[in-house]
Amino acid sequence: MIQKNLQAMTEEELAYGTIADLAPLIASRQISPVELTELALARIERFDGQLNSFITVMADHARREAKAAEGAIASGDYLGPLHGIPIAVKDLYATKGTLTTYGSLLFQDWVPDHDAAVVERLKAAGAVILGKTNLQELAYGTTSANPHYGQVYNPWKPGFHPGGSSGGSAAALAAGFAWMALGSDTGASIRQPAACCGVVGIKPTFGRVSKHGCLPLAWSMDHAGPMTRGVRDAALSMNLLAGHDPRDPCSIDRPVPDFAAGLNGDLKGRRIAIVRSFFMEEGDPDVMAGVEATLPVLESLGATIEEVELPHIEDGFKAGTLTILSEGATYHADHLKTRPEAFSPQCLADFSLGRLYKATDYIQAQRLRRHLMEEAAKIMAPLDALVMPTSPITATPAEGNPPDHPVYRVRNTIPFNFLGLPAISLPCGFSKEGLPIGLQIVGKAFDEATILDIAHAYEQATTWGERRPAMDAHHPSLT
Amino acid sequence: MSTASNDDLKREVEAVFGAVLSDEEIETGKGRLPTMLANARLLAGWANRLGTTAPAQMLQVSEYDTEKSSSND
Repeated sequence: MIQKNLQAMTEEELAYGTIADLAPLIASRQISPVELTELALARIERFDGQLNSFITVMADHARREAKAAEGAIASGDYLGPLHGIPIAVKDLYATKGTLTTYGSLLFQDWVPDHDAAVVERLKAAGAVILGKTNLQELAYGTTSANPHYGQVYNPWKPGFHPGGSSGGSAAALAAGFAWMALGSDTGASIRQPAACCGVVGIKPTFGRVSKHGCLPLAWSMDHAGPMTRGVRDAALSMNLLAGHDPRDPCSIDRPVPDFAAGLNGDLKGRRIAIVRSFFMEEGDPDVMAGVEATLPVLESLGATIEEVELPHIEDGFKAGTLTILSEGATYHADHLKTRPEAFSPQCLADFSLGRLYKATDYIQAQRLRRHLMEEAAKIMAPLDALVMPTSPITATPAEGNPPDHPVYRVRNTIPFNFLGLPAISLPCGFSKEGLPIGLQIVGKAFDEATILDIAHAYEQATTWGERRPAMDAHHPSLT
Repeated sequence: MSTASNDDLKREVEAVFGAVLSDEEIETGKGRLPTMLANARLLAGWANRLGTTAPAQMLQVSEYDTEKSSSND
């Protein structure tokens, strides 16, 4: 896209550029971080009244940081690909001196005195934080229907939800408000909104990215990770975010590769298995057709396609939901007693019910977890990756939730939180209604590099990621 | 208001979770409780098949090994 003459680019083309495209232009001072930041703030001002993707827009902070980045780069102190890039932070991460609500009334006035680890890393890399994105209350849910801060809407279709819980981050990327956004994922919350909004989201291996400063929903299921508009941007973001952090007891101390270095578009010798059993047995036929259509593309790139089953994965899904509810109820136990009025009725009811599970239920779930991790490791040993739909359904209207959809929205993703395996979602088609479909690629533990490589090769061979929502057409009152 | 099905649900909750819920709590939770009961029964059914399998856990003893150096990346 950027190969085109810079002067001839429209603001929209710039807004939908990738970090990989823009970083060299920022480094060579052909584009200023100040211009990009002003463009992002103008788009937020123009369109976000319809989408509600931000809880807090940090316009003054962003302008200061953009100016500082511009000055540093002019002085020869270029810090790397994220330097001067405007980004958004899910409001589940602490930001020093800036309101951090966790999407809850419990924290409606909380201004932290520290940054979350991932925010520290982004600031140190010179990224420009535009604001804090809206999310489902306490990150518990998958439609970003926040009763306190408002419903987030999907840029692809007015009145439709963007997925969740990181729905604000996904919508902000799809709307061209930011070039990268932080998400978090306990059961779906990076990958499913990425799928619903036609962007890329990666849930790394459990322990790969620090969760220090991120509100827990379920300690053993929570993952931090980036959301972007391209796979290479996800790799560049992972280079920055991954790494050991002793402040996070789940963090793993092991070497971090250069995730962007191996992206070459060639899948020769790769063994990829589709998992139709369980993951493709129920859902929208458009989604299934979209995912089936990825197989000949992957094959044409050199991969061998096989089919495997993950036996008992449905039990893993159920044990994963039990784990989330048990750990969530535990984390919120004190607030449930002392400030029940600060929870929405849904959160209050679900977390209260979560207290019913007994210690033996929880421990059986964790025993099953080890068993399934061992089983999956054996099945995946000869393979490079598994593929299936990220979500068996696309986004649906925000109002009028079909009763089976809450389960569908997490069915294909919770298993990999339970197993801790890395998984990426990227666009692989559109439904007849024009809504994005996500392909999920799952890798072996700590092998994010391979799923990024496969995702990148697929992305380069297709044009799904190049489509943009018609913001002006969808929002005529704003044009 | 207690109904026949709510009464059954209340009895099942007491049998499986050992908790006595009020009519109001049963009414509020009747959407989710059947799934929770099924999940608990499913896991109980796994008990014998799992043999001596230990729980997956988050604790990493290595983080308390003061002899080990940390690369911090």
